[in-house]
Amino acid sequence: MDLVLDNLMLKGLLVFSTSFLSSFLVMPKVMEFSRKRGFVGRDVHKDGQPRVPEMGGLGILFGVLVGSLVYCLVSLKVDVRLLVFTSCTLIAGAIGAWDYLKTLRGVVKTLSTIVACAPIIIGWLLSPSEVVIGRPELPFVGRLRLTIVYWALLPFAIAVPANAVNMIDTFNGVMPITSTFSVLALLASSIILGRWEATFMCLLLLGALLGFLPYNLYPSRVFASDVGSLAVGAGIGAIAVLGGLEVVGIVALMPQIMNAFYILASVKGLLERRQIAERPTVVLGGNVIAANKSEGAPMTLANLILSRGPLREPDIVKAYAVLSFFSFVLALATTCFMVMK
Amino acid sequence: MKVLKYTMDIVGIMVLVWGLMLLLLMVVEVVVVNLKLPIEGTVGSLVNNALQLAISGALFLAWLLVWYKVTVYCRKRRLKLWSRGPQ
Repeated sequence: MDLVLDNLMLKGLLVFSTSFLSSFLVMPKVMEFSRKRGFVGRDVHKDGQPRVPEMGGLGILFGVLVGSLVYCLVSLKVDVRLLVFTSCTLIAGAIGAWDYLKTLRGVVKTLSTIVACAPIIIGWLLSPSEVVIGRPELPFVGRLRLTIVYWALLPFAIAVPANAVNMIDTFNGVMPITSTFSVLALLASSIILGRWEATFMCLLLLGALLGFLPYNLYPSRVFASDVGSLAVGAGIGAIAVLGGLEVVGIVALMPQIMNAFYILASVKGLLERRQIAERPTVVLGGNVIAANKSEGAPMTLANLILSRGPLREPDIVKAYAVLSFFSFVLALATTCFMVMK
Repeated sequence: MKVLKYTMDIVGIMVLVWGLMLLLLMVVEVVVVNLKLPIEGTVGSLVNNALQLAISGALFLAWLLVWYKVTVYCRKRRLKLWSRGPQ
């Protein structure tokens, strides 16, 4: 039986449905495992602060892994770029698990995510014809003449999105919803620009995220924890670098980057959330949340959204979805300008 | 509708930051990278690269500063509206 599928759409559909189904179906097992091992956390924005299983990110990683294997199986080859993408995601997930179990300091966690960039560099060294990196493309202008600077910034291409996605994972469903819009933007851009390998990577990550989403929506039955958020962020960064979609990636991740920038600028450094004395938001009861108006409170995207007045948690999530939708539109506009050059 | 009311000015910040970022990258590529001091040799090349890096870095920091200042202003305005509002 010939397993080689030449039809791109059919292959894409297969990859997407495999990662979606494996992530969706494995999640109850992950929840059971987390509960048994005591990997549970308090949902601090709910009355009574119910305990919710964490480590849901393991299901996302499982979805990405199974989807990658199916892709290799139907293509009858090991695609180097896909291998690099999967490795980046798995390494970031492992760092997330390490952080979850050992509670690393903010600086250590951020710096350790730089390691997740190693597969890209190794892939480029071993197979430079397949892993083509450097000279990011810009709207109107074309490819930038960045050479040394690009290599100096490359380690942050994974660390920044990984930590930015990790930092935004504060309310039920926010991480998978905002990340889904980011991946959709990269997916659309990769199709418009004909970067088909990036398209498959997007479909893999999208399937895994959508498989996780129903369990994480308000009221959450499972949290992704650092395992999931760091892995998803690293995956998005890897797609942007491997697909030559760096600028589109930055725009697609705008809500996450905005949130990270505000935190860094207001707390003046890389601090772990337990190291920050004041919370950016306060729970008023009845699931209503308000911005913390105190001078010492870190300015986050949630704090900025709520600076207009208190909202219920589902409405905060909707606000994040609106912002992500607009960043999706801006990313598409960026892609269109890239075509117009 | 309520959610849109809460997000529209943040979308405005997003569009501003996006536009300025594209402008900044274009200025760096079209103007800064082509800046050359009339110094020949290896030293000249080093000086030119350092100059380009310094100007690009300064522009990047200015972009971040504008972004932060606009956000702080916007947050203050929103907090005022909140305290004046019916809630």
